[in-house]
Amino acid sequence: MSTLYSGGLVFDGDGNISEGQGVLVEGDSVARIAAIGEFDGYDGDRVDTTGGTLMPGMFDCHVHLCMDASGDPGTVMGKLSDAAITMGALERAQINLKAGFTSVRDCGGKDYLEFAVRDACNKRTFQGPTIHAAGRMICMTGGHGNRWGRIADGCDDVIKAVREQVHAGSDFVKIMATGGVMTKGVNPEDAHYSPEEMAAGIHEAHRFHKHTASHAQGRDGILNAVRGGIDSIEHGIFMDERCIEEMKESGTFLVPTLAAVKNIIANKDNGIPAYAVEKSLRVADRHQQSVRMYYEAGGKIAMGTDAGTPFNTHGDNALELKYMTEVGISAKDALISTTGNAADLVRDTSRGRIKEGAFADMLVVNGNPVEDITMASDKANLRLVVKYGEVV
Amino acid sequence: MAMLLSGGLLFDGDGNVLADQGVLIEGDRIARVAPASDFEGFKGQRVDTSGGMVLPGLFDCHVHLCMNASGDVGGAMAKMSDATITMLVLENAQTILRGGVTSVRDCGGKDYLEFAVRDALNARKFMGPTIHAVGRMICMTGGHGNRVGRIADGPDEVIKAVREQIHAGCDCVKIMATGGVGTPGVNPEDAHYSPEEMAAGIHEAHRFHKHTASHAQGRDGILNAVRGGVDSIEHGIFMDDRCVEEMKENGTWLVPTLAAPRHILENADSVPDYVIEKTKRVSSHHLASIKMYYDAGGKMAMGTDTGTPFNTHGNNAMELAFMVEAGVAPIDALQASTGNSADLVRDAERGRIKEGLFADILIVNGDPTSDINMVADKTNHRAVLKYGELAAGNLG
Repeated sequence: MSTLYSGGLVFDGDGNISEGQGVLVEGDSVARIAAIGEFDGYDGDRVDTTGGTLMPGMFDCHVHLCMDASGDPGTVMGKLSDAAITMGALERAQINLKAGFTSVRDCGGKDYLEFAVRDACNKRTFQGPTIHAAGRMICMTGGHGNRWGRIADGCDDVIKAVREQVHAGSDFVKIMATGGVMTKGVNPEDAHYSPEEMAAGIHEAHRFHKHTASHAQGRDGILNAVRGGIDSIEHGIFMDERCIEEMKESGTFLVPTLAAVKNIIANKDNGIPAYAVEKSLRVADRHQQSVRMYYEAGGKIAMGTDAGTPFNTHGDNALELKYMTEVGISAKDALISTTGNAADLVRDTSRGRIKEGAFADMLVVNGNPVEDITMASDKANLRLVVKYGEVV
Repeated sequence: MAMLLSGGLLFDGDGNVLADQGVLIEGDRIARVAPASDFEGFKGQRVDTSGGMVLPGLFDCHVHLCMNASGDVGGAMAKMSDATITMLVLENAQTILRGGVTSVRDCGGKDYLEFAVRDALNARKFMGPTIHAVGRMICMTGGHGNRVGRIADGPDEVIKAVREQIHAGCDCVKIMATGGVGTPGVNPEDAHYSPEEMAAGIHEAHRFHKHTASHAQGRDGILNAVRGGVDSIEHGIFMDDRCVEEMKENGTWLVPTLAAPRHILENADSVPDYVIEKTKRVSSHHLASIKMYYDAGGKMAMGTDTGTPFNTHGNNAMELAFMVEAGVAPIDALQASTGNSADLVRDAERGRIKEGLFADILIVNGDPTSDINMVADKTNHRAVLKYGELAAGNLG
């Protein structure tokens, strides 16, 4: 089974957009990319991409598949059986895929339920995105995420908590460096784990070849994470020049999740706990400023939405690209952040770029998204989602 | 979206094979069944069923979606996380649908995991069969199914166990009347629950409008279940004239599950010894019992016990061939798998090709009433429709 995609533009995931290219898919992979003339005489299936752009399937580096994006997802989750949460996670994974996200990174689940969904999707038992999952978020007593996270205090316990995630089968490890918006009684501005605890957990994860992500909103917590060797800062709300300098030096990824704060504020009267609204309003401007600062300084950004948090609906992930351009990121760089950069962050060399030998996880969108980001961010412009060479 | 099926034969799920009928599907339901000539000028999608037969999607009244049909089902299940079992249940359910079975009754799960899959499928969030589920099997201490069942002893505790299933959201209740093949240390021939325990459990289920099924292999256990008012006898291995007479009088359904012992015997090298030994001991009597009840005119609904060793999900339709081999007429095997099964699970919206019912439909080659393999062997299936949508095969 082979299919030749040609007629329109090709965006490669590294920032290059080209015309006149043919992309040949054989089975589940990209077999050949060449000038269309090279395919004269090809007599297999063809997809005409004229007037559109073929691009890598998008990555969302920050989702919560166990969470349903209702006003108070934690309370909803608390009422469901494990099996019902599992079915919900699969449903949401498939919705992500249909919206153009052929890979997602789950940044915190519940009792490893999402691992079963990951295993089934990654084995191709069900159609779904490729899933990378953290398992339980690791947080201090009373820290952000403590309702489902693995509470650990002190370096030894943090190390043990990391080992538990590794043993359960995590793909990466998430450690909470600061307070957050969605947990009652904590401040986003406050550092939670000590520098030693952060460093111990990150080091242990790296020993087992797992990359690490840190929920890090306040300045001091961001620095604790970066100095501990973290791979990605999630949210990064209160970054200052010092943070930027050290993150750039360490090659740290920033995953902005602009959608999270935006959706809470836009739905502040729709059943979201008052403390979450209050904190979102408090941090929103500073968040956008931080993201712009890191971008302008040339820092590495990977796209993430925090889908599953209130009204941050699975399936609307691509809107984040629009939000990124609204804070000053170019359309091209927003696209790179959700393709090549995201693949680099999750260390997946077989996806995220249109290149020979990579899996055929691809999209066809209308127009040229490098010139107009809504071609990628607005679902109405999505013509085709291809996962492992098959049209979804 | 309208679709007209015509050209071939129609089995209506009420024992009738009709020619020259058109079946009009609109959306998820059967809108009209009438002579094909009445549809002249129909402009929608036409599906030519010439050389084949349209029949109701099959029902399987006895499956175990949590079980993976390996040689040691219990051992395999114990090693999986709850979430992994849940994913397996969905996979098994979808595999069964693609095998032509559009409704199943799960006769015993694990910790209600299968309920979440049932809820998702019945809410049409994923493609899959309609699922009716019992939840945890109710058995005596040490009884058949005790590894995953709800152990209950004494009428009061059995009543409480039934209430638990109802509270958890069961569609029907399964109570174990006798020993069985798959549990070590019990005899299929022995009655387990006392007549009083059986009657108490069945009565409690009926109070809450749930129908009841009983795993019942030995004669005395079968009689305990029937006298307690059970709706269906599962397996029914050691039936005698008395059983047949009382079951007929009560209108009790028999769900044979011939596939279960058959697959165990065919894979004797990969199944625990006690399972083989007991299966060998009971299998010829099982066939004789089924034939007796059939010959006496008793009511039968189709069930396979898929999930038990080597009784793989997706090959459920093979049971129809096994029923025919045991002496059941092909048309009665079809009836057992469609209208009869719908009656047993009390689903008035499926199991027949009738106006207003859901378009759960199987289209097969040839005429299964003259060659049961046309339905039993899924390579002869042309298409499976669930709620009017193509779930397997193609519409040519």
